[in-house]
Amino acid sequence: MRQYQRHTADLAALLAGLCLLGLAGCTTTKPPPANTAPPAKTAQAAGPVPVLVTADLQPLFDEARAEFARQHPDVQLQVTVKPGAELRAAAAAAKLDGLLVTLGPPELVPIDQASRLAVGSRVLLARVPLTVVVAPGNPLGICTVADVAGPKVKALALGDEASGSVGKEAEQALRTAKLWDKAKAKVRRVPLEALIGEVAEGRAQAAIVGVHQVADQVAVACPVGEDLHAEVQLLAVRTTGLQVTPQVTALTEYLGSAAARRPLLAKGLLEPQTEQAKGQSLFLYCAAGLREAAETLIAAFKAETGIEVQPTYTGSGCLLAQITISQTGDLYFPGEDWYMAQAKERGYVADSATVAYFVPVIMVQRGNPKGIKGLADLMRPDVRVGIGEPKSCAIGQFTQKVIEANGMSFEALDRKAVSHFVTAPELGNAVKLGAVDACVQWDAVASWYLDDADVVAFPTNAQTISPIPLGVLNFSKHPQEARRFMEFVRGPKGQAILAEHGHTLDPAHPRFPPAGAPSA
Amino acid sequence: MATAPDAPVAALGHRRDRLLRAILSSFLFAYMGFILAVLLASAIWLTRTDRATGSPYLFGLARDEQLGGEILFAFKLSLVTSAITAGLAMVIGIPSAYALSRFRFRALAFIDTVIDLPIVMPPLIAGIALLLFFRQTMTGRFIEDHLVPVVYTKTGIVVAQFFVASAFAIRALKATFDQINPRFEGVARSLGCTAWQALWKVALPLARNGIIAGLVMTWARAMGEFAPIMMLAGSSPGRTAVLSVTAFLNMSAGHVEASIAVVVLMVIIAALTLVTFKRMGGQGYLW
Amino acid sequence: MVIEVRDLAITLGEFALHEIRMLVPEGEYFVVLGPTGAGKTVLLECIVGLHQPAAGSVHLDGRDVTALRPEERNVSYVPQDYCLFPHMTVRDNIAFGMRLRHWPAERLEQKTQHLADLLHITPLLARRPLTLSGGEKQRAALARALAIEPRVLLLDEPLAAVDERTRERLCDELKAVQRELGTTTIHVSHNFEETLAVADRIGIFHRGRIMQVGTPHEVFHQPANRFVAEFTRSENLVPGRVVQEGERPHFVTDGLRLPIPAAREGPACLVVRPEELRLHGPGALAGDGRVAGQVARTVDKGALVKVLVKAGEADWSVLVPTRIARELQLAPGGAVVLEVPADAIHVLVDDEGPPDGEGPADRESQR
Repeated sequence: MRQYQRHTADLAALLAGLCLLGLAGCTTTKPPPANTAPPAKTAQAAGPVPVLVTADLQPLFDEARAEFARQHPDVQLQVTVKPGAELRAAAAAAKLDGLLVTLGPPELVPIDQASRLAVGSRVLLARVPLTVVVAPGNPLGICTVADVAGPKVKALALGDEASGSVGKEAEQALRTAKLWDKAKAKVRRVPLEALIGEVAEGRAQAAIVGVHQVADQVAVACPVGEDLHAEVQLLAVRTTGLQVTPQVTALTEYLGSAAARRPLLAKGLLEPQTEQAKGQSLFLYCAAGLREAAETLIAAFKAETGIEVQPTYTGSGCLLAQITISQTGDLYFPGEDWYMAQAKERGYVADSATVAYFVPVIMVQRGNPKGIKGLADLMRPDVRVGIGEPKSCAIGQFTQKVIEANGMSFEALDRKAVSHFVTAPELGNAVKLGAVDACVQWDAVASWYLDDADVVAFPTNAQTISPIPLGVLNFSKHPQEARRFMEFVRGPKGQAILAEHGHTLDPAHPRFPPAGAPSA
Repeated sequence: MATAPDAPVAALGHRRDRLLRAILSSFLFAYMGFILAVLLASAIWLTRTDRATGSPYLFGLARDEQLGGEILFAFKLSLVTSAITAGLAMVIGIPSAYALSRFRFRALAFIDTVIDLPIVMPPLIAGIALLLFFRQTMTGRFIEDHLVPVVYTKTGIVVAQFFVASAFAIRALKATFDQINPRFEGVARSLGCTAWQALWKVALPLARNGIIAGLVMTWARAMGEFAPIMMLAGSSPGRTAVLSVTAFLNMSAGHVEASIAVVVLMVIIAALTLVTFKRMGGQGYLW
Repeated sequence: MVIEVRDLAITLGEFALHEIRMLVPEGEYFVVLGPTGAGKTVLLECIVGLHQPAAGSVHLDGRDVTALRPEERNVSYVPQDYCLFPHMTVRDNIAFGMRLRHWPAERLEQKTQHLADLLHITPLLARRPLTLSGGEKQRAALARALAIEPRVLLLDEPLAAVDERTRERLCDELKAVQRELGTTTIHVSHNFEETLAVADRIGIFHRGRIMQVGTPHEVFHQPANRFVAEFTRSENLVPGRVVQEGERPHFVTDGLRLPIPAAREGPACLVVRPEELRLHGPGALAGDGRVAGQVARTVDKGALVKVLVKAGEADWSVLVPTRIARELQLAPGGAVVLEVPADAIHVLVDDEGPPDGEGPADRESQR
């Protein structure tokens, strides 16, 4: 038995050794937790609050404010009601300030881009389901969404572009249900407020409206399934011009509470999804080179919405292969637009947008010992150059474009190059480890190596800048949440995070401006 | 039962053969030196000073707790999944190897070839094939949807490791059972053992060394796998990233120091594994 | 237990058994003797139950056990390399079978001790098989086999790996133990001395067939066919005829006329063991069965001298004690008289003929 006792002892020793190693990893100090003091409780507030309400939401708002008036009798609500498009345009143009109650989130984007939205002031009141309405009595017997694309309906009224989410998501729902091709010929685009009228007055046999718009002149035929489109939310946000007084805070808090929600729910609206969204998880295929930014984006997104995102990192091309074979996942974040184009061609992408740009720069060793000032210096015999393989990575392709755009011969550079690399980070590693003196590299990737390398920028144009796309995949099981992530990355918070990680957000203001140009 | 060889046969024992002995030994030492130099270089590099912080890379890494947390998680994940894979390989491998060793199959050449395929296949190809199986075939889809999700999960790590590493276990166990004289079981049966009892009371205890060797080999190989895990389980840090994948992720993000740290860690683990394996009396291949 | 094998046939790779018929009565020590590679082990394994025969059956005490599994037959088997379980001590090895049968600890202890004493391995009980010598292993394996009180014991070349001196001693021990316990035993061997020391009856085995079954005397002095004769080193086989001359039959060839015990007339082959032949000085031709001849060669065999003699136009191989060789001054080329005693002659009528082992009743050869 002694032989086997020895074995057990050895196994125990091995395990103990490994546990010690593991424990050694545990002994790092943690920073003290961030100090988040709870906000001061507002006592009885008093004073005026300007509120901007879109016309279609007025009846709802009136119901919701009743309880607020009881709780805070000394607060006067100065309500401005206008058709949605007009109201939002005025808010964006800084003509009006106040607590804006509207549908969203796409409606808010122009206001956001005009920097007129107060950061972090968004309150989600409820979700607005869409529904199909028809003439009273439903004479045509429309029972399902498919029927609106059928022969019974000769004209279908949808919200126009200015009407925001309702129109957009109605179209998305038809697309997802594969009815768009049949239906689009019959679509009449009208402003949001006119949708009910179209059906009531017989100009259209059916219309898709928000459930809050249903009135006596029309009958509800059938609901539009929520899985067919992204969420339409009922939101309240502050414009930047609104001073934050206690009464404003009180109203904002109230609108987000269960008390305000009750009359809304009674009218057919739904609880906001944030609570339910927790526990769901999105799957993100992310290029290895975008990892730093992605991790911060994911953390911030989770903090804001409670939705988890599980990323997997590898080369963009390998990601595409995995997507092709596994046919599963929610989001695709490749480092180069070429891959998104491929994915679109294969029919995998539901929606995509450019969220940042890769601008090529020259990356050199620390201190620029070879005194490289521009692209021409790469051709010097004493400079060891590494280039990306044009067939394997976009930086390689773009190096070729940039070189040729500057009137140089790429073949000559190719022959001269010390080595060819398959991904951008490999190029960077080569410069850092001293294997090459210089390379053409993406600005964001170069910025990882600022401790060990320097950057020399040169003038670029639209042809030589690579957009970084983020896309929602067709086989996503949570398209609403996936879209939300995409909107988040496109939104101000996401963009700030990308800038933090060295990405160029605006081609006109690159991260590393060429010498002589104004800085970003 | 093979024993350690006695003192080497003195074909070159004569004093005058010293030169030839020296030349032969120098090949051995040169090879050893090469391996040691490559592995130690990584460890030594970490003690170099990081220009940004002014202190050695190692200290910077030790204090970087996000990285530390990541490596610690990957370490634990690697250990656990490799252990599960090794256990599974034994559960499936012992009966398989016994059958392969003892029974006469008509299609033995075919069976042998199929079992050896995962060893010879490039691991990346195995990973791609696995991904395809689970997502593109009816059987795979059925497993994914109704039994247990595999793709991009920790289960996928075990599946990928098992696919590639269990073949070693079966080979080692087959060699073990080949060495055990079937007469032992015959005698046991004549003494009153049922076929099951003969397996359990005689064949398995006699195969003990082989089983331990198979366990360690599978564990070591599973720890070292990279490509198939990445393809099938994805490379999600904090979720499905094992040590090897973590090294890759850090390299592809430009974190050379972090990768080197993982290199050093894995070299230590490999060395510990080997030492234990040898002490347990294992011999032969560990690939 | 009576072991009977009826028409057993099986082919295992390069070994094949053809129509084996064998009957071993209760308590007998039966030796299967044959050259290596004849398939003797396969025969034993069929009796144990490790192989399913292609044809034929195995009967124990009249019951057909061919379909029974080894663990159901209570047949103990000691294979060629003893196969002591290396991961257990000798004591555990011996107790193995008893533990399987859940015998009470007391009985187990008692039995182990009894067998250890019987086989003189008591000091070895706590040792492991790897540390034992060949003889010690053999005794331990035997103890293990006997512990379960089997009705049948099968030994496969148990003394093959043992040196000369120990072999003699072990033969005696084996025989003694077997006699005391009364276990029906089949012992496979290729060694004559061993066989003669222990066997009650012998079965000659050749290429998967039983050539002859009988007592040692019968097999060695009355071989049933040419193979048995050659195998048992009755080296003198002379073809000729049997003719009736006067009252006695004679064996006749061109150069010989020898009186023989009763035999059928016809072509026959004469078989005489070398040690039965006698040599006399030249000219001593008076008497039955004497033939003048010439010494071809002598070979010193220690206690005996093998003399190759040419007489009666036949070649003879004679074994005489060294003393006689010296007295006769035998030398190559010397004249000598060969005497073939009538009672040492065995006549083979047939060259083959599968004999059955049913008993002394019917056999091809006659006395």
